[in-house]
Amino acid sequence: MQPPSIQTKESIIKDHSKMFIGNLLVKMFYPNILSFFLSKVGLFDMEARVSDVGYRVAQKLLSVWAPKERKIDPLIKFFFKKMWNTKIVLKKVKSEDTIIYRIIDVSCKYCDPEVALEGVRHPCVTVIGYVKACLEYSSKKYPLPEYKLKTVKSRGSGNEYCEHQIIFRS
Amino acid sequence: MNVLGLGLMMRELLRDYREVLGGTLENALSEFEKQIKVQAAEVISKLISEPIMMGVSMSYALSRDINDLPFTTQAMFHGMIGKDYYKVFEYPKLTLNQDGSGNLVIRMKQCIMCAGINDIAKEEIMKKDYGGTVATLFGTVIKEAWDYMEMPYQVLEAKETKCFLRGDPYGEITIIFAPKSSK
Repeated sequence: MQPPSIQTKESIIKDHSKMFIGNLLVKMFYPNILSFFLSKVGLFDMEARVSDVGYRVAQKLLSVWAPKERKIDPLIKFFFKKMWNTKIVLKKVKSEDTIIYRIIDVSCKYCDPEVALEGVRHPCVTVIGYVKACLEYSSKKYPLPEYKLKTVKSRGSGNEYCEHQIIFRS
Repeated sequence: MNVLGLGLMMRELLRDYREVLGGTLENALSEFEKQIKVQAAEVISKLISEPIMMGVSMSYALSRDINDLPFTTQAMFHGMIGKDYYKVFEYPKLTLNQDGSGNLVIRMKQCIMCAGINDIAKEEIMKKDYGGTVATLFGTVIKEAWDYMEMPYQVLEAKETKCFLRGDPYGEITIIFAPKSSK
């Protein structure tokens, strides 16, 4: 009988980086996480913390996936596909002094339209942390001007879709 | 959701929980698990009874025969992870005692919660289980399924019994159950 093969930590990480799991765990714990932070540190700090969690997770994932693509559009699309197995719509809106990237997600994994959290306008605000890490990754090849990130719509607070914006001042 | 992403997310959240609670990793894990218990029953009971495809709910996949428990648990893994489930989970082992009590042992060849973690020493976890959240999830799925089918069994405990982070060669979750009348 053959002995069971022993995988190295690196190969397990590689396996897991390509594997998907249903959204049950996130559905179960994410609303509680928001409530916990909300009660302990208030709305502003809660948003900052969950967004920062997203940023740190995305940094590690990008170091494992190491995508060759560094342009904003394809990189963000790649990230959403690999992380949440979702397709997003990315719209670039130019005006005189700004360029806005609208990231539109109709199947956000963090928003549950049936679970409304009092005082939380954008439950999926953690996503902007992931986007921030993507921008940082992109900027290593294509330096970026100053930008702002914000979540403007969430399915979890009654909107039809979730929308995150990257705002570049030109 | 990506499996590695989920594990890393939990690690990073626990870091913040610990900071906010001003305590140990053990405290953070306790708080986390306490919260999951509240939400799990609600989410899972909905999942079992609500139609997921063409008017058919997940309850159609459930069996009233206790001997089918390993098979239905494996089907649940398949549903959760997809075709790669066998890379993570071994076939669950059911032990039934004469008095109707028993346990279901679920072994993991790799852990979905801790595979990407390399900054937690086993001393840090202390008495808490890092995979307690997954154990709670599995225990709640079985409890809710049994309640839905009005089975004469109750889940007494769902706990992590082996853990890679503690140095065990595999991960393991044990679900202990008994007939409803017994205490």
